[in-house]
Formats: sequence, structure tokens, C-alpha cells
Amino acid sequence: MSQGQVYGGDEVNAIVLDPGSYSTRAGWSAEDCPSITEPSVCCVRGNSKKFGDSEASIVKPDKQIEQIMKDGVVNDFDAASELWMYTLCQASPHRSVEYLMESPLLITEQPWNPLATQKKTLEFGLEHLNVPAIYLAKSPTLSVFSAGRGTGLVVDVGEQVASVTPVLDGVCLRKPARKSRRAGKFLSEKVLELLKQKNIDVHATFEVSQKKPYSSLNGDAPGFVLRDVECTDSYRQYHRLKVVENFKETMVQVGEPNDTKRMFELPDGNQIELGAERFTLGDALFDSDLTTDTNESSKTTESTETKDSTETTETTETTETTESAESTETKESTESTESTELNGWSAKGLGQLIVESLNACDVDVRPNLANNIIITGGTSLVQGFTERVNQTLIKELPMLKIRVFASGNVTERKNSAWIGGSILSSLGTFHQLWVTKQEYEDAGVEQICQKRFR
Amino acid sequence: MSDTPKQNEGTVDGEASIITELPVLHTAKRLKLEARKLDGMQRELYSLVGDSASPVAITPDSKFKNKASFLQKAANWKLAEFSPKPGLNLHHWVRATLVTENANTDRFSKFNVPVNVPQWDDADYKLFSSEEWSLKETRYLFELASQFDLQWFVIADRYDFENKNRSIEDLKERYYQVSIELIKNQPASLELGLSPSDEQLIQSMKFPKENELKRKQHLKQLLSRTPKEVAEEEALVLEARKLEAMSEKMLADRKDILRLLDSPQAISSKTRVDLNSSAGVGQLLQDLQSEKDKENKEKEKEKKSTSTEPEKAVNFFEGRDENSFVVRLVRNKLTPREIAACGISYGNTKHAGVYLRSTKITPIRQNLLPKVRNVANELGIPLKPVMPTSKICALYDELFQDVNVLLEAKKAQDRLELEIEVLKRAGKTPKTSTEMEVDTANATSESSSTNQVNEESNKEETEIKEENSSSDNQKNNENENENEKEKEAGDDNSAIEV
Repeated sequence: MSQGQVYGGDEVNAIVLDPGSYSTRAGWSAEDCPSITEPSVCCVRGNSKKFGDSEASIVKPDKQIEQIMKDGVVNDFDAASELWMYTLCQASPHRSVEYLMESPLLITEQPWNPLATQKKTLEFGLEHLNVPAIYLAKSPTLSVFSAGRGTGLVVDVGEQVASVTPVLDGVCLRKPARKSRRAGKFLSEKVLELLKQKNIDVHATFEVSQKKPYSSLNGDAPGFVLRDVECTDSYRQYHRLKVVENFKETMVQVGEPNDTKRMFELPDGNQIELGAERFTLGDALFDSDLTTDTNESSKTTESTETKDSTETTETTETTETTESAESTETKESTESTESTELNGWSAKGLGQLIVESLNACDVDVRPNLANNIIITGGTSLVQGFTERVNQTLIKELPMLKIRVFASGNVTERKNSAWIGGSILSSLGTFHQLWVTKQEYEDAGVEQICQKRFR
Repeated sequence: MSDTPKQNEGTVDGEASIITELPVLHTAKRLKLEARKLDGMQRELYSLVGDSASPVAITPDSKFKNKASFLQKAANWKLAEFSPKPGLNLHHWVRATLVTENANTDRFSKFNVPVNVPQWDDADYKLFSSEEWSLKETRYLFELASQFDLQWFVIADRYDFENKNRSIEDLKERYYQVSIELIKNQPASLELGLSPSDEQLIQSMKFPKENELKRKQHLKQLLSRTPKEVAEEEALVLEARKLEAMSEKMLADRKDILRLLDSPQAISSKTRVDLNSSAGVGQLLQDLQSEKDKENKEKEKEKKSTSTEPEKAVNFFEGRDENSFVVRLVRNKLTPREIAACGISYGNTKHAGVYLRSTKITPIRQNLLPKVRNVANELGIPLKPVMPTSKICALYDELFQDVNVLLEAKKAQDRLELEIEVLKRAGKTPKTSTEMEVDTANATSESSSTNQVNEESNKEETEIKEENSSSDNQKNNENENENEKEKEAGDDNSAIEV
């Protein structure tokens, strides 16, 4: 270390908990990735609630799988606190609670986390878990820290929410922040819709006992045998969505549409080959209004027509399907504009969201923010995503120098908030910010939340 | 340096003389060390091979780090308790020696420096009461200011008082206004007047809201330009740069010209001075005399040449009929009508022999060729006459001379216009008097030449000329202005006018 610089780290064995809408991560501060990652779901059987990936993959006839998070914040706090307890214990040595009780706890939260949840979270930490100190850190702030900056525009596209939040010197701005539901879950629904239009059933891996490769798009007869398993709908849906996730990773792409075909084999052996439609799926994240939607689909019809001009029967089929896609999309988007504009939920595409957010910021900070655009979240790993964001912004904001930062490391992209928390809680200067039990008791939850975490 | 010893290892004795002293010493040292290190087979091998060793190093250099030596005793670390803030005890690992020295103190607490936000109570409100800002709201603003350490963007973001719409400038203005009032009304400053440091503080706290708003407006405009506008602006900047470069070049050229002009001027001024003395007058007289002599000689020569020619012809055609056409032709006694009818012309006597008449049209200068061609195209005539009769050739000659003059005038005009433009742009940069002189000289010579052209020009050319002359008039006006300026400029100019 050169002279004049002070090593800012001061390791105090804090625990960092990052409850995301898709998975909940926990681990010790100053580490580079969470030691435990569990899905943010609760497996309910009768009165018992169980957690963890392994639990979610065991089939039981009466096992329900419930989502714990909704719109990026806790939906069912009882289940959430149990999940957190479970995850934290998993991260702790010997899975004991005693170790946890000695360490301060840092929990991440979204900027729009309601006051009630914040209060409950403080209660959970300081009373239920009995940690010496607790802190609630905003996810975007932590993402900025994980990118090694203090100021930046965080574009976080996760499972349930796509949010754009400006962060100035570690403080999230509220008024210019934008969020929409066009994120991972939305994309999964789009995929399921597309497969439904093509009369393709998605079977979860556990449902299939025997399979033979076939292609329903080519008109082959299915060659799989289903296992006779009794399970609930929510359980089946959860596992089918897992298949869709794989589908998204392989097939969905964003950018200039081309006809490069890609193949994906469903667990039942059905081999799906798609070309330009892969891009229509990805564009759903960026398209904001009706007109662009219809434009896109008409474009794809054209391309499919030119492509399949020799096979007339095929052509008519595809045009039919895209037409129906159009109609469903228009229906949906009108619905979504009506329902989602409320409560700060935007129905616009991501590109528009970023531009809006930047333009809502003070003109003095705009150049700095545009120069530090940080992309995180699992859904941002869709192929071509970063390039598309970059291109859109350069086109829309020609006067600002756009620089997009997106970690190439998948773990870092998925867990940026946790990593930021790990960095923050291992800094020496941070320790004055912990909310101690004494403060909590003296000032009361209400005051603490208002003064410290709003 | 690091390379040379290695290369030299094998050839030390052979090339030692070539290499400078230092590396030699270095290699020798290394060799010695290596020799000492060698043992067993390697030493035997080395003694066999001797100094003429292979270029490859015998001792292998390991790429790996040395094994860690654990001779040192491991430092003692302790899990120590410390308290970064009251009521919070955390544990961290510290060197055991440090624990005893400063236990329980947090070395980072010194970084926890809150921003100093002035404090005031409700009684102070009367100092800065306003209709716009109630006591409650002012209090709220100060609370936010201290909560967010005067990060105005954040304060403006979180500001939510009775749904009032307050811009960041409003907040800043109010905050600094209140702060200034508080400083002014400190008990100390009321008694003794403002201390210099306080006055400085007040100066630094003055918040020019209007300026700030204007600045932001400009910034917004700047950021909301379209790519087209940006491109246009860039093109303009480029143009301006070009102009600047041109003007620089022009000034440099002008300087060169001035330098050239300076020397004859010096001579002429010298002669002017010399006229005062008798010797100078004598010199001048001599000069004039010699020039006159020259002229006389030339005249005589011409006379001779014209007189000898017909004599020769007479000799040649002696004995022929005086009235025959050929004789009359040679004697130049044809009637004008006959000359016109036969298309006879008496060429330049300098050229002996037969030649094509068209080749005798004054050739167009190479560098003017494209421009002249343009003019010819405009007029609808070829560059060389189709039927080069003497009349046509003469007219062609005349026309193209006019065209030449025109083009030169145009060029001069362009240059002058550029200069005027440059000078205008440069604004009030003072001109040296000599520059002015050149300017005016150019302008006068040029305008006169263009006038000539005007008189001589054909009907087809008049259009172009009209444009020219009108711009010339403008220019003349400007030049007049400049002349006036020049007169104002003072003493130096009078010398020039003489």
C-alpha cells in the first residue's frame, strides 16, 4: 500500500442477506459470492413450511409451492422470515443460530420496500434473530458499490421487476427511479404463450419417464411416456417454469433479428427449432407500446414468409400464428397499460425507462449517470442485452456520453446486490452506520425506519 | 542491460573489448558466482567446456517462487472487541501487539465528520421569516440538510412537504439565505461587526439563483440537441478552423510579401534622401540619362529593322511589274479592301518562315486554363478558333486577354474579400500601417483593372462584370473606411502617404 492511502477494510464477520424475487442469498461479508443461494419459494404441506432447492425438487402429492416475493418485495412475511432463518442457518457454521447471534446482519431491500416490511425486517433481525446490529441497504446502492463506483444508474432486470435507479454517492434517488414488470417472469410468460400457439406442451423433467427425440413443429408424433405422478398445480408450474428458464437461456436473444436457427429439446424429447421468433421474445423486454409490438410481429411474418416461400402450407400456418400473437399481445398490452401505470409501475420498455429516468434527473448529474450505467440482474444475461441497451441509449441520447458497465461474470451479474453488501459491511467506515439493538429500543422502529432507511 | 550479460556469457573473452566497462565487470562477477555455485557433474562439465560454453545457461533458472521460509515466528493475532459507536460491540482480528495499545478505539471514527448545518430556534425565525417559507417548512429543510449532509440532489429528491413543488434552486436559495441571516445576527457579530472570516463565508454563501437557472437551461439545451444539429455545429467549427488556418497562411504570405517589398522601398527611400545632396542629384541625372540612351538605342534599332525589310524585298522582286499584285503585296501597297478580301496580314517580322496563324494567338497560361475554358464554355466558343483568319485571331487575342484580366481581378477580389472577412472576425486587432498600405494598393489597382475590363468587355461578359463591379463598389467603400481608420492611426501613415 502506498503512503497516504488507508486500508479501508475492517472485517467484523457480518452476515449479508439478499432476498431477491427469484432467489435468496446469504453469506459472510468480505467474501466474493454468497455461500448459500436458495429459491425464494416456500414448500407448503399442510401446516408445515419447508425451504430450499432440494425440498422443492421432491415430489409429494400435496406439496404446494408458493412465491414469497411479489414485485421485488416480501409478500408473505411469515414465510419470508422462515426462509431467511433457514438460509442464514445454512450459511452459518454447523447450521447453528448461535453464530448468527454474534454477527451484525445486513439485509438488502428494494427502494420501494414498504414501511411495514421494513419494520418487520428490523423486528426479525433484532428481536427474532437477536443480532447485535442490523442495517437495511438499498439494492441499487449495493450494485453500484459492487461495480466499484459510488455514483451510477443501476439497471436491474431481475425475475419480477426491471428497475432503473439513479444512485448519487451511494444514495438512491426516488423521484427519477422507474420500474416495470417486464422482467424474467414476464419473459417466461411470453415463452409459454409462444409455445402454446405452436401447440407445444411443456412438461417438467420429473413428469417424463421415457422420451424419444421428435419435433412437433415438423409434425412428428410424440414419442414420450409420462410418469404417473400425483402433484399439485403450483408444483408442476414451478418445475415447468424451470424448463422455460433453460429455454430462455438457450433461445431468447435481443438485437437485430436474423434467421439463425437454434434448437432446444424439451424434457419430453420435443425438439423445437426457432429462428427470428427468438428475437421477438427478447424484444418484448424493450418494446413499450402497441405500435412497436405490431411492427415487430409484422416484420417477423415477412421474414418467415420469405424464408418459407417454397412451403406454402407452412407459410399460412405461421402467418396465422403471428396474427393470433398480435391480437393477444394487443389485448395484453392494453390491459397492462391500464393496470400497471398505477403505483409507479410503468408499462414501458426498458430503453424508454432508462431514458425517462435519466431525463428526470437534474441536468447537472445526467452526464455522470450516463457515463456509469450499471446493468445487473439475472434476466440481463439474455444474449445481446447489453448491446441493445447501449445502442438504444446512444440513439436516444446523442449528446450524452454513454458508457455501460455490465460484469461479464454470471455470478457477479446475478448477485451484484449481495456482493455490494459484502463490500459495504466489511468497510471500516461503515460500522458507525449499524443500527444497534439499543438504538432500536430507545428510538422505536418507526423512528429508526423514518430517519435511517427512508 | 539485463540482456547484455546473458548474451555475453558465452563470448566473454572474444568480445570483452568491444563492450563497455560496466557490463564486463557485471558479467565477470556473475560468472564467478556461477562458478562457485556449480558442483558435481556440472562443475566437471564446465571445466571441460571452459569459457567457450554454450550460449545456453548451464544453471537452470526456476520460474517459480522460492519456498516460503518459516523461520519467522507467526504474528500473533487476537479477536478483539471494539466499539465503533456507543452500544455496539463488534469483534475483529487485530495484531496482538496493537490490542493492548489502543483497545476499544475505532480507527475509522475520525472519518465520521458531520456537515456543519447551522442551528436555530423558533425565536430566530423572525430574522428570515417569509410568506413563501413557513417556520415548519424551513425547519423541515434544515432537518433534511443535516440528514443528507447537504447533498442537494438527494435533499431535493426526498423533499416532500405538503406536496409543495420546490426545485433544488429554491431549496438552496432558502438555505443559504437563512444561513447568511444567522451569521449576520450572531451575538458576536452584532456587537463587534462581522469578522473577516464571517464576511468571507457570507460571500461564499451568496446563491445566484437566476444565474443557476439560466446555466441549467443552457445545459439542457446543450444536451437536447439532435445529432443533426450537432453535426451541423461540428461542420461549422471545422469551417471556422479552416478559415483560421487560411487567415494564418494569408498573414504569413503577406509578411513574406512585405519583406520582399521592404528592400526596394528601402532603396527608394534612400534615393529620396539622397536627392537632398548634390551627389544624389547627379546620380539621378546619370540614371535618367542612361535610361534615355537605352530608349534611343531601341528606337534606332526598330527603325533599322523596319527600313531594311522592304529594301530586301525590293531587291528580291527587282525587274517585275510594279503594278503586279505580288509586288504590290510585298511592297505593302494593297488597298485596305484588297487586304481585307484576301485576308492578308503582315505578321510579326521577327518570325521568319511560314507559320500557322493560329499558333500565334497568345497562349493561355496553364494554371488559368480550366477557368478560361469555363469562360469560353459560357460564351459558347472553342478555345482555338475554328477558322483562324487574321481578324478572328486578333479578336481572339483581345478577348482572351480580357478574360485573363477578368480572372485576375476576380482572384484579387476573392482574396480581398477573404481578408476583409478575416479582419472582421479578428475584430479590433490592430493592423500595422504597412499592411494597410498593401490593402489599399491592392484595392485601387484591382478596381482600376476591373474598370478597364468593364469598358472592354463583350456583351456576354457584362453580366459577370456587373456582379463583380457591384461587389467591387462595396469593397471600395470598405477600403475607404479602412483608409479613414488608417488616417486615424497616426504618424506612421503620413510617411506612407508621402
